[in-house]
Amino acid sequence: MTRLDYAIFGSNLLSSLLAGLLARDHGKAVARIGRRPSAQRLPRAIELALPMSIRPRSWQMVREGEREVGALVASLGVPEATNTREVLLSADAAGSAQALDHVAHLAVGFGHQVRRAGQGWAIRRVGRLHADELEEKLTAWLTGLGVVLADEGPVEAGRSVLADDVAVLDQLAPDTRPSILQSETMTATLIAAPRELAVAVTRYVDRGVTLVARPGNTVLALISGEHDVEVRLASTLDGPFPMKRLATTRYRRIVSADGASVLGDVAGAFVVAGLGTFGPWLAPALARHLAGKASADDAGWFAMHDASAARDAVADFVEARF
Amino acid sequence: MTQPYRLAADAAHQFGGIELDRSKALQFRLNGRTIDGFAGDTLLSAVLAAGIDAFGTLGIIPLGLSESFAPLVSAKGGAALPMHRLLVENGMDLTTLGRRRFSLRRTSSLGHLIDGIADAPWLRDPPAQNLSTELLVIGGGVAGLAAASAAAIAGRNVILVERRTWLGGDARYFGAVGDEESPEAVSTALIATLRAAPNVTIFTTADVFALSGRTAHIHCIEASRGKVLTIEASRIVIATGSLQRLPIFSGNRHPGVTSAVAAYHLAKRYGVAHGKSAVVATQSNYGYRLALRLHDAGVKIGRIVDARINPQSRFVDFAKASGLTLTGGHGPVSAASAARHGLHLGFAPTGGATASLTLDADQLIVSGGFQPDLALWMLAGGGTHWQDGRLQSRGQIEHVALAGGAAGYRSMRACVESGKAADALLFGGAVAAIADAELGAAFETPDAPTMIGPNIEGSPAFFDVGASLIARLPPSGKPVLTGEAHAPALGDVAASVELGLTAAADAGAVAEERGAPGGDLVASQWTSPQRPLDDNPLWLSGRFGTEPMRLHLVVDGKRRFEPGALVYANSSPPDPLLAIGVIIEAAGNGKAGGIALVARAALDAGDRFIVETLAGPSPARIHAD
Repeated sequence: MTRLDYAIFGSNLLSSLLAGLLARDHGKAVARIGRRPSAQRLPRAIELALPMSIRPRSWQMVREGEREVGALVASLGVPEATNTREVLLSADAAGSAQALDHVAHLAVGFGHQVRRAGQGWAIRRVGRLHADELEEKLTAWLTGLGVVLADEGPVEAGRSVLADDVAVLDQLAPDTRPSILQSETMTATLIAAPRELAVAVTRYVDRGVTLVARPGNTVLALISGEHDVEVRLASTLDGPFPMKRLATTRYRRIVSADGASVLGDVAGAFVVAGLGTFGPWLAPALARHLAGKASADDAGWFAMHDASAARDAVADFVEARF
Repeated sequence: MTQPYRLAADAAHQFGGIELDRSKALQFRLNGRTIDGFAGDTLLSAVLAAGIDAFGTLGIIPLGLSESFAPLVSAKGGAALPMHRLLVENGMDLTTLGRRRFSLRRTSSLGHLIDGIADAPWLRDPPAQNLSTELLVIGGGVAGLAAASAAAIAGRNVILVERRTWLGGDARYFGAVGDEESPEAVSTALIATLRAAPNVTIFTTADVFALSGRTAHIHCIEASRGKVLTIEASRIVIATGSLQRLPIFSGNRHPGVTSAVAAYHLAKRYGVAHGKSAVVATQSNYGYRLALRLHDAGVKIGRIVDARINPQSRFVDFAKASGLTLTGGHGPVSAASAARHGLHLGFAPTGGATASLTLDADQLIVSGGFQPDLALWMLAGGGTHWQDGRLQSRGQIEHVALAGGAAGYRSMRACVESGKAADALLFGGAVAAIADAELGAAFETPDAPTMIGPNIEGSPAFFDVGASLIARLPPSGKPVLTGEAHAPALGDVAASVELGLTAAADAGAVAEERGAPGGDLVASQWTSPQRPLDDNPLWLSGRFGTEPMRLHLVVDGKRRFEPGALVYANSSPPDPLLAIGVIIEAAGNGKAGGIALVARAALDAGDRFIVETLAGPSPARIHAD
């Protein structure tokens, strides 16, 4: 068997894109290891090209990634896997509203239209990817590139990349994780909604709740934290109450303590964590970085996001945690 | 003829209906139509006996009426009640609930325009009565009866609840094996024990719709009135049995298509058979047993079609000896209305797509596989996993035990033993090992997998028999269970595994996610913790140098700069990467302009700036104060 250059542990969209780009653009021998949950399971994440960041370099990385990933997805021939949607960012507390003001102005600076919505902002034409729609073509693309696809390891490779939260939680024991990486309980629940949501995605940064409109007059809610889950969720809904829940699952995710992404070596593996919703769009830059082909600017950006770096200069907005 | 689907009172195998008192004929009205029945009929059995076999249409697709899928009814001013749990009484005047198409003709359909099934209104009713007991047994089949009996004999207080109007479960469908005691004898003896025990209370027509901790919420019908009660139980046995799955083929919920277990109970309990002729499509040997009994009771069995090639079974031999026509290695691919009457059925070689055999009959009886009914187990917090082609229980709950078909047992003997074992497990007794071998199984061809027909455009194949109405989409489509407003049932999840839509490794998690969705959300006044404005928030640290200046920028005496607006050097293009500052807050006391954080180094280049507001760029200068 060919010796692998990279073992990408993860089953999310970023893992697949990263594995494929390392193989296609950088000629690397790559394995992607992780079993993607069935589409029938409740989604645990959404992919939005919207950094909740006040750092313009992070915005620039995502915007550049949008062009590259957009071209790649178009070449796969799955037009329904990508679209743009309005995303509402809602704040209750003055300090959070202040941060969202900055996010909204950065969004404008990077080409979005925005509108004021209460104490928050609606960001228009935010890129969205639908991993389930892409799965089949993406798998064929990876196979065609010679990427080894396996549900589980271990494999021998020159470098291991932990590219999603499941991989980080599985492979980095809590006592080996730097304190910047924090584990957080999440709840995903599907609600029967009496009417369609006015906005495709709404993120309540002070309530730890994201609402996503789904087909069939249902709403997917992603709720962070362990406490007051139901009451926080209900506070974001218009009713009429009682509202029926159709499905619920709990899981854990990795967030960073300072709100910025964590990208760098931890305990012998390159860890990708804390990207929020924009992970897939970072794949091209990340592939270049791992292959040693990053520009000086990008390399500097990655270095600043290393878990062991002095991270004051990248610390970002931290949503409320419960 | 007012009851065209009623079998003769003296039909063989008691298929005249053991629940009925034929000496007590009755009449009632449903949606203004007069219907005849007998004492002992449920509303559903009487309606089916009257030849009404369709709920209505989903779009243009007609859907059959069944225990799993029927509208609620109410008397004038009365509460909603389920058709299959309501015993009819002479003179009742009932209306089905939901949108209906008006028709002057006496049709075989209730005429509903089906756009989903509303939740039962009693789900949120306050309880009319609160009871408590040492042991609650849910399910009145042989396992539940055995569990209740063991507890009663041990002197414990027991409440047994059964959804149907009668006790005994599905064991009679399978019949006795070899010298084994018959299910009738077993259940009759257990029922007699329980009826004689002073410490046992039995509720029939009682449906457990919620199970939280040690509290069960139950809807039952007494004197044609529904009521909700709660039962607080120290221990709970879940003996809810197995659900017969629906083979997946186009038209599998067409009126006249009936599951074998439902067809058996309709005939045995209520003397109802859907017409004069039937075709039986089966993947197991028990389909033959039912066919033989219906044949003996006067129903013309046009064919028994078996998914298995050359199956071996005593029932197969009996069927051949009785002169029934058998076809092996075929499964149903379509069911639709025949040109004049009844059904037109298509069958293809197993795994094939083109019908090579067509048959007409009044009904198609489909004998599919079985899925343990773990709905309440999951509500109680139990897990599931996919094993041996079905979802089975996983994990343990301290005060809850599974028994019988719900626990995965198949033979009657094992179901009875598992009922006793459940009682022992919960109360600290010795739990004996349970052998689940069916007598003679070595000589019988095992069940085939679920029959799956080709995907036919315009004629949906439903995943299961219930209200979720999840159907196979046209060949290009992929149904997603999370896209449905009605929670998928266990049969839906099992079908999605068999259709390759859900990985077997995920099936348990998919079922759990939907099987224990959590309680209803109620209105909330929750408020977020305060997060005050910050003069120098961490998320701006280092962005404009290590020690940015805090400046009041203005353009004139009126215009205000909104927080978040980026500040640029006078000659800079509006590229956020080149911003030298940002408006951090409004100027105080209603003053014009805004307070900015600006990089010190930028001040060397001048004191004129551009503030990029949402209304467009604005020149700015440092205010004199």
